[in-house]
Amino acid sequence: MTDAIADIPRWVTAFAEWSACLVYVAVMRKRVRGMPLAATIVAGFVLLWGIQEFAGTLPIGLWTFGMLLAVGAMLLFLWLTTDVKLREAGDLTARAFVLAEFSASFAWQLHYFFRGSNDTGEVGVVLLVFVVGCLFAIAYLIERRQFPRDIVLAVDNKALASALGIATATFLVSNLSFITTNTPFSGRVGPELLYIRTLVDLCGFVVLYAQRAQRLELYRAVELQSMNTLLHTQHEQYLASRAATEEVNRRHHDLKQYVQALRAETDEGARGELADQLEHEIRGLSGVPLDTGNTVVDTMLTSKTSQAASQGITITAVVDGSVVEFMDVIDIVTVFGNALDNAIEATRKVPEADKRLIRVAVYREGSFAMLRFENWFGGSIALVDGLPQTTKDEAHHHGYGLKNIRQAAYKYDGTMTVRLEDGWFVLRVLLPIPGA
Amino acid sequence: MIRIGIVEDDPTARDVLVGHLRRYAAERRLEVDLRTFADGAQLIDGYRADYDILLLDIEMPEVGGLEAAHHIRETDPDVIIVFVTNMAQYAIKGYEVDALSFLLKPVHYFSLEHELDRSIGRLRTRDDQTLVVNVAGALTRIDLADIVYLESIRHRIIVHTRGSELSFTGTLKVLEAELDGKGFYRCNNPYLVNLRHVRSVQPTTCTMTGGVELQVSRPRKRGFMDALADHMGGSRQ
Repeated sequence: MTDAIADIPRWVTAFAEWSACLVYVAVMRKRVRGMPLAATIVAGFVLLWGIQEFAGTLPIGLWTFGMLLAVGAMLLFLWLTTDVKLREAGDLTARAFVLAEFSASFAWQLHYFFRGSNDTGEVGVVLLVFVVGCLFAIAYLIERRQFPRDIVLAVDNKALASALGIATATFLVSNLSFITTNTPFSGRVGPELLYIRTLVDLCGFVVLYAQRAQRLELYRAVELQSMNTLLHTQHEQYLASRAATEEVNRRHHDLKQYVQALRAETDEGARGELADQLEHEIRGLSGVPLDTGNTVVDTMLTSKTSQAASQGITITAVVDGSVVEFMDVIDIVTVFGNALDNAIEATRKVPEADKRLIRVAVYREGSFAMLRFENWFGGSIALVDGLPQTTKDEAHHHGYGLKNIRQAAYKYDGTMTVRLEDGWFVLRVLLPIPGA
Repeated sequence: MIRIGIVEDDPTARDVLVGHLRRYAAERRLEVDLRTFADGAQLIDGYRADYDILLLDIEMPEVGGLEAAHHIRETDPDVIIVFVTNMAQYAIKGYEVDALSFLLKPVHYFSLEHELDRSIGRLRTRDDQTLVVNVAGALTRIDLADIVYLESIRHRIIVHTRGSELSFTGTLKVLEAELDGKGFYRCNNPYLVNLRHVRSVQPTTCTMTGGVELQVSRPRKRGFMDALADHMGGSRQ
């Protein structure tokens, strides 16, 4: 250590670490709220300050141990306050740590420059707190966009290792000058030391920011692709079932003609009976076709109903297809296809056969079209930003379907809501009918 | 007391429904007045609008459920109609008579239970929904259904009902809390709108019953649309 500059006061480091944690507490979803949250935040500050003061009393040989203790406390604090898994908390800690190092160093550098001494004094305290406060306000504004609430960006071991690596490297290089001046990367003059440290820490923060931005970008690209694939699949399915329906209708018509011809040709009682039987069988095959007033809706409902029936699921639908006449075919397919696929997927797992129920209601309410899909579900799931939390692969799939529905709803200036009501999963799409 | 009518031509199916209903009444500790009919014709002959819920079979020899429902709706817009059918296609047009769901035969207790829970919930939200306010020292009772929107001007609240206005001292914040879960939404700082009177929505405004156009503030637009969706989609929350 050089004698010319005393190291950053312990309380400044503690304050910086604590505020850095707060930045991430602010951007993340909280584990607790209200009083417990406030209490944890206060306790976190006391703990961090205590550790810093304690570390200050340790011999220089145990310096690393003191730092690890502080990092551990930050991890604990972040894990207790934000709704994340341990790995994500580790990732946040790396970020918060580098941010804290940077802001403490920056504030101290400014303090040193303007005050010209190591004496903090009252003005110094105000200055330090102000600078650190400003930095964290800026950091919050920057990081907020990197942590969108509706995306839970899973942190795998690789991502965690890279974040920890960046943080460690930043920390070591930035503090090199304070340990020894005898390396090619060390500063030798007082203020220069501070400047190097601030710059290296800033670089570390920028690298971590870029790493996160890139992962987010990648996530969004994959998501977009999956959404498009799903959209495409739904449309393909629709075309296939429409072709199948047309084929059945055509054959039905042909057979009817054939039966009529058969009847006209002969008066034999046996033949007539045979013809009757044939006709009866045909009727049984095609059933009464659905007629909602919209052929796309008819096709979607017919194909999904039979798909559900094959899995022992009952779909009951009261549908005025004419109210969605203003929607593009692809959007009707998206909404009905995804909503029913999700419902079938969820209902399939219900153990009691008589509870495998899906209800669909589409009707007009004033100048709005209301589309409601409900399925018995029995359990409970966490909703993030109005959508079921997407972490598992299967849930992911569910998530894209819902996102596609929401996109379609937004396209018509409408909205989509997802609610859990007494064991039922309820999806509602409200669309203003144009020109109504 | 809940009055329920069952219209079903098949005696076996009728007995099943009656049995389920008895069980439901016992489990929920409800007093239920049950009347049964063997055909839609029997029901509509001399029909009086004193039922809460009707369970209507769709396929009946003389007058089917849909036809009977159309008849009933001419005089009784309030009764809750639940269709019972063995062909899902037959009920698809239930929306024409405001029957937005139906039961598939054979009727399982679970689905009937849920349908009744929902219907009875609808009955309950219908009645005794009022707001009591102090207008110039006199307590005044206002039917929630009559309120189009509430407006705050300085320290006064103006209640805009269909055809009249009432004004008293108070804050929207208090009223917002009191009307929570009753189908009202603060679409803008000075307005608390009754969702059942929202006629249409434009990019930055909404039009209420009576044609008044109110501003919807940008940050509240999404929440407003969601609340409207839940309200119109029959959420009881």
